[in-house]
Amino acid sequence: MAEPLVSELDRAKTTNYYHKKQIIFYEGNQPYGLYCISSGIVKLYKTGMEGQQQIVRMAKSGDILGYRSLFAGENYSATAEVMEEGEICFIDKNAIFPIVQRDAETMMNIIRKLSKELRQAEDQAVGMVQKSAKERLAELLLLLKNGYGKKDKGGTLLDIKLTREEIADLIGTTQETAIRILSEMNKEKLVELRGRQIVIRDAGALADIASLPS
Amino acid sequence: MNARSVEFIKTAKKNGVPLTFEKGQVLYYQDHQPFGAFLIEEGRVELTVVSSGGRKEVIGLVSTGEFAGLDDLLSKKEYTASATCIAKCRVLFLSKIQIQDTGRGEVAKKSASL
Repeated sequence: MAEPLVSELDRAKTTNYYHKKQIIFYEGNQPYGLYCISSGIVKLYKTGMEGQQQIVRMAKSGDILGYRSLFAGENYSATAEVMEEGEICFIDKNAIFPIVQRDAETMMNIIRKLSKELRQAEDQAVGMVQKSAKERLAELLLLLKNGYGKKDKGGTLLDIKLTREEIADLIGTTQETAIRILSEMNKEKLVELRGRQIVIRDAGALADIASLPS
Repeated sequence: MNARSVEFIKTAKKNGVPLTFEKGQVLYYQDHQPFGAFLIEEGRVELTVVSSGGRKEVIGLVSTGEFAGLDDLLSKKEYTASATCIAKCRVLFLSKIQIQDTGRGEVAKKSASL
């Protein structure tokens, strides 16, 4: 991006430190800017008729939130809540739209990001229909390994603290099923459970279960 | 209402982004750098602070026709309180740039009239 555009964005940007459970935006509300995550983890969830949460995805450092709704001119399709505290910057839409209209490179970057997100959403939809809960959990663990994995004794520690309920939400199953499968995987030494922390011990076997290339 | 507020209300009515927040939803959090201000067109907003002991205290209410967050933004400080809708709110959002530009316009007008 050209220097004048960067300083234009800098002027419009506000960076804040968000604590756990703080809400960045709400499902159903109109967008008035977009958010870039510098650090921390954010969960995006939809709320069902009975108030239950369905996690749609998680976002981490380097991810941008809210741009799909902003560019589509639609209301937010999910609520963004901070799971692990961190720095998040807000850029208001009055600054973004003129830049996107003027700068082809920025436009292309947005199209690339949107296309990637669409592909992920398609994969997720197919997975929900065609895969068993165990296959979906294996796939989730490998995704988390790529995003939040840290080398650890005997495997890769997932550096993200998820409750069993959140894991269940992410794969679209009940908490009981998620606990049962995790405990099976623990027994089979595919993972090691350390309280709420999970260590991936056999990524190859998980990839086989998830029918993914290891 | 002072002349400055009138100018910001005019700007909000002309260029503000219309937004709706449900009861219980937060417009902004205490200690955050201000990213904008909200002109309340309908509903009510509660301003709360959390003390060092962790106790939440209500320090004010913002009603229809008033701004939430404007004074903090103009004084270039963090938001001094969290702002939460205590009823469904219809607001007009003015970003910090729009506010800065409106403020500058005011200063320019004053200098020209001197």
